[in-house]
Amino acid sequence: MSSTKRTVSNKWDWNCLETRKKLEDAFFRDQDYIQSGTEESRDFWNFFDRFQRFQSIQKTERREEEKERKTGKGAHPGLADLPKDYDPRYRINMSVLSKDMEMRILGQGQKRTGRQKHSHQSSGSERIPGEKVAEFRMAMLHFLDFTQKQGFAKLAKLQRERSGLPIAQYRDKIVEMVREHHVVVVAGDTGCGKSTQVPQYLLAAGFNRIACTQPRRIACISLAKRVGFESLNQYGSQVGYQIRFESTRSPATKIVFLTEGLLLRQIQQEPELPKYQVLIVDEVHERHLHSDFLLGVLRQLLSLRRDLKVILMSATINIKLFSEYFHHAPVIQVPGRLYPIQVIFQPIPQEEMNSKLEKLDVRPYLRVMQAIDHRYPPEERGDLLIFLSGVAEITAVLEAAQTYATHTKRWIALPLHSTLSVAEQDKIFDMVPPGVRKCIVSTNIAETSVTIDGVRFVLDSGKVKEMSFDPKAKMQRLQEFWISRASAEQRKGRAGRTGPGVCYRLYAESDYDAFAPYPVPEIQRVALDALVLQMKSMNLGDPRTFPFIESPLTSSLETAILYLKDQGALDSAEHLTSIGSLLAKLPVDVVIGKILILGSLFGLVEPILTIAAGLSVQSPFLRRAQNDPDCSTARKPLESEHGDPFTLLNVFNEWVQIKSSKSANSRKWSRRRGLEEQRLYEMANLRRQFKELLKDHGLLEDPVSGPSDSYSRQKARRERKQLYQLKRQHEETKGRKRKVLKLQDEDTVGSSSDEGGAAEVSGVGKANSVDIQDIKFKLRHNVEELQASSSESWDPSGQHITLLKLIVCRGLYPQLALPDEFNASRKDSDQIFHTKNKAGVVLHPTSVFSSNPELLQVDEIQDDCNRAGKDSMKNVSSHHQLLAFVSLLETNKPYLVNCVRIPALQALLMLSRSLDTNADCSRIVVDGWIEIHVVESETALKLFSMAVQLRAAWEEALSLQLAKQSSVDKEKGRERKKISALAWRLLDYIKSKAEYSIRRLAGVEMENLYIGPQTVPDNACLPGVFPSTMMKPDHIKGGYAVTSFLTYNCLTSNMDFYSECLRTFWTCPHCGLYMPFTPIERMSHEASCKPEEVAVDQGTVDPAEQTTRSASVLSLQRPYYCGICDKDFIFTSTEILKHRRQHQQIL
Amino acid sequence: MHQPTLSSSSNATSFLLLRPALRKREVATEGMRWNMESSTDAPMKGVFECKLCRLTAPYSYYGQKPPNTHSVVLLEECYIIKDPFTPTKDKFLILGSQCSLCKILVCIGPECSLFYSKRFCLPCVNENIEAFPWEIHQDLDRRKAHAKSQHRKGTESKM
Repeated sequence: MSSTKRTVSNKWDWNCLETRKKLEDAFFRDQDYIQSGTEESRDFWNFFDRFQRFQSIQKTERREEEKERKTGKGAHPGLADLPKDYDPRYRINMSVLSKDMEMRILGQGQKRTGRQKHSHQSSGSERIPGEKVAEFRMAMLHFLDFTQKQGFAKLAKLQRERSGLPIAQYRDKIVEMVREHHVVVVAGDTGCGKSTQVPQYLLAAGFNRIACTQPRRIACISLAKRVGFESLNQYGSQVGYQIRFESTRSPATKIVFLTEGLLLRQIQQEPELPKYQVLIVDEVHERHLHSDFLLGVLRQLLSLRRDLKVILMSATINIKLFSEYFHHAPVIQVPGRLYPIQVIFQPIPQEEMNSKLEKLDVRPYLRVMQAIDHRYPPEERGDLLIFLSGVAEITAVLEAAQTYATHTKRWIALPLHSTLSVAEQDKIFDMVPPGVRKCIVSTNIAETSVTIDGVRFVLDSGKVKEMSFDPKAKMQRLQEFWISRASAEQRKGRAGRTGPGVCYRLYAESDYDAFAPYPVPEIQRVALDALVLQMKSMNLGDPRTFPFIESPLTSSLETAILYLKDQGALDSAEHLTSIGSLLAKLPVDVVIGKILILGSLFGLVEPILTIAAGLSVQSPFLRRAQNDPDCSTARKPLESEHGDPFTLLNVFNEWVQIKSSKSANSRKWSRRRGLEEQRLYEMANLRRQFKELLKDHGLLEDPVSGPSDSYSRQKARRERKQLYQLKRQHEETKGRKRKVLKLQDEDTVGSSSDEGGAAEVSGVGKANSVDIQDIKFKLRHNVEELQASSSESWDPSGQHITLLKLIVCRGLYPQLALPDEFNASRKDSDQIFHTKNKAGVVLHPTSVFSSNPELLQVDEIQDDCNRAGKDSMKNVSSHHQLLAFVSLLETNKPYLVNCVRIPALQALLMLSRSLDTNADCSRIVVDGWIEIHVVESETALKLFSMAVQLRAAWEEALSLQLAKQSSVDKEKGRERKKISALAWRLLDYIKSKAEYSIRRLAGVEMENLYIGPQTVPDNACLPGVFPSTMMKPDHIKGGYAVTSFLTYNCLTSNMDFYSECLRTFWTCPHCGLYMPFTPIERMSHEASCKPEEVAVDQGTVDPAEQTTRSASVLSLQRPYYCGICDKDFIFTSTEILKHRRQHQQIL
Repeated sequence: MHQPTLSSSSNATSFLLLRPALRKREVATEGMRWNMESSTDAPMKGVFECKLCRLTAPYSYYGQKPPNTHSVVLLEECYIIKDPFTPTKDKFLILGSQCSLCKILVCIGPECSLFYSKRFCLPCVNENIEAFPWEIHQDLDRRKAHAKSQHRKGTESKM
């Protein structure tokens, strides 16, 4: 070595940033294998440091051991040219071509690239010595070799794991069976690998276009990821998933994981399902409504598509049922990979059994924890999983377990149920410090939906809370049941996934033997409205005769059919009506579908979309926040006095405002108010889907999206690009590292407390400051537009709210509840309500009316002296209100969920399907269960008359809308005016004053309501309320059927029987005619005496004002003054935004 | 004697022929939903299978100059896939190649083959162990020890 070189290397510092930069510029160019500034270049420098250290050790070793070289004699000729002196370089099968770059760095090259020019101008003077460049190159080669080996090891490990799965031995058999048969059943227990492997086996065997259904969305995503990874297609598009709002599917996709519901929708669109060659229905044993129905549909489809292959995959439960349903399809049984599990029956002693009202006795649960501590040394790892029936039970046991944990310092107790936030649910996967066990207290969610590794002990309460449906009361009931033997086995199996385990059962072996063998399939315990509707729209004939794998209850089917008829979705011959076929296409409850359609009529689409979406997702209000005073205070301003759906509307609108402001953090905002933001994202997605559906069906006009200017287009494009970049970055560095949970000590109150949860979330947030949900949201939605539409629904006059309420209530009808007459004298928390089929229901504690009962209070009219004599005139007021509710749910009490309040009489006259009156219409019986006494019969008559007209007009407008007859623009304009006039009339109607009393009829009274058929033949038919119709005598109730919903004078009463013939003097407000009328004649005159096209009949309002009023209802326009043009406009919020943008463009 | 067996036509198609298929993807911007991101599928040419450990994987290139990697050349003809573990499309992963002596296809896994200026399957190395330098012997011993301990670990955890 020359002396100059030595000095260079003495001074040489590999850590010098400039040196590194120089080398990166030369070797890590954009076209090179490693690029400067990437994760990989950082990896390289880390490797480089280690490599340097390793090299120096190697050098000294080598000097000591001088090699005795043996040359292979008489060996294979291929070995002759092996290098004589060993060098690690010969072990690498790669070379890096970068001569040009070396030249440059060594200073022999004169030309500089642009990149070098500005990066270091002065580099000419201090070039990197050739020796160092060689060293760098060598390190780079070793790095490349290392990464290759690493990558290959990963691949090899993957393959080893795959071939080690129990199902791998059945690979050929499965493929062969699928080739030979149309339907094959693959039965194997959790962990055998069927869900991930079978699709891959089939793809490798040459099958293509494979669909695999899953009951849960989350499983679709995780399976697609796993299968993509295993099939070395993690970043390709061969394996994808498709769920309600997300799809990674492309034309290149060969395996797609999708939900059962989505596949059914696809069959609805393309009955022969040409998209797929193979259908795998996974988890059929779970017997979900959709999967049972799907099996029925597939069985019929198989006769149409002889080339279709169907594979049913199930746990080893009731396999015969499935095989036989498909004409004895062959079964392949795969043993699961389960370690032996010891079962210990530990029935709860009598004195610890809790009666229904008491809190759960936690002693049996603590005993098991103690037993584990006693019997198993803490070094032997293994967690405990407790199965309980519900959240209340979880809270009780968790509390006790946490107390025990603080005492022993050997446990960390965590809850697991579906109402927890995602972040809280995720904690169960975190690790525990050595010597500590997790105690996961869970609902049956951990039975199949969530798999937790490392569980060694299972504690099974043997109970489950399940939703059942009472077809008579149309009420959902959450009841506690014993589990089935199949569930008990499933729970037990959770202890043996990673090693031998123990299962403690808090019931006797004799109890176990008495359990039902399988859980009750969902089809036998839920409302079937949506199913029947879908069956009708798929032309599957009479649902009563459809060959289900196990039939639903006949009464459930009948209730569903009747309900759909009531809702106008089916006609009397049980054929789909036009509204019905539309409802069938909306993937929501019939009720919510109706609300959407009604909302689109009045141009109140934006708020209605939000309300409908809000009612279709799980409640965003986190349970824990209820007891948190800070949360309740923060929530308070969002609460709507009109009802819970409107609170949801406020929450969403406010959230969108937060989202669209640059500075605010919506995640934080949601957390402070105890909201699960995920639900709001779901709402946004659902809203958009609804909007598209309404557009597709012509119920919503495409807003004439003005050609946006190129500037804003460019800006939008730039923003999107940035978002994509962020998303990609997130994906590259994703994978939340499992954290180590901390033992609770005295100050921080446990890992499950709110604060713990919140800190956790923010911790995650900081770790990768990208909020991926936010990015996805912004990529999917036009936030600006959302913001505009969310501010549209804010209206100070309350007019929109009233109309919205009426729409929501019409959608919800007949789900109405009447406050009890004596509520005023009850405590706030004891308010009682009655529905038609269920007396004595209460408000759900989350309802706004539950915390503000005064909103439903009736101010009674006090001048008792006047009416003291009349018994029926108690409780007279003009402020009676009704509640419309979304669902009736019975847990420990029957609860009304998601309520809206509305003036009682007006709403009932507008919505009810059956109104029966006495002769002067002052006594009204609604739907056979509510009785109303109107003080002034004159008022009653007026209201009836208006109701009849308005209902006819509303019906007509709706059917026009549905029939899409309005193709001509001119017509459209006229219709719009008509509809807006209708809207105003409805508003005025709701506001109209009347004094009345209202009560629920007692059972006996209901039986003797009607006078029954009359034997007076002489006036068989009266001229109808509408000139073209005739009033026919009602042969059941007596009296006369005025319209389909109104029967006149059919109520028994002690009043004068002939009052229907009594005429009183009355002046027609339209034509001024003054003469005596009978009540019916009066209604008839009013209906016929309205001038054509004068839809607006409020004499007091002048026409100009009227048009602005009506316009603003229709399109939510408001006056807007633009300072730049110095002009006044009538604009909607969106139009204002557009207008402003125009100016920006000019500027 | 040993014919390389491949499940589809395995002729080393020239690198040039492959280029068009690997053109840069157009970057769609407007109206693109997030799910329509560019995929990184490369056309598969067949399935590589190691004759020793039976590892199988589809490969997309056979030769010495993997596509899109200007500066890297291989010193043997290799079966290659796009690295499935990174989203970057220019990264490749070597699966295996032919043993220079017996010509069977072997993967690059440490239990099947080694590279010492050429590829050798482990059976051939063991047969001609004298021809290899001391460092290789040492390396083989290390591999054996490692494999054993791996195996033991595996069985222990299952007990």
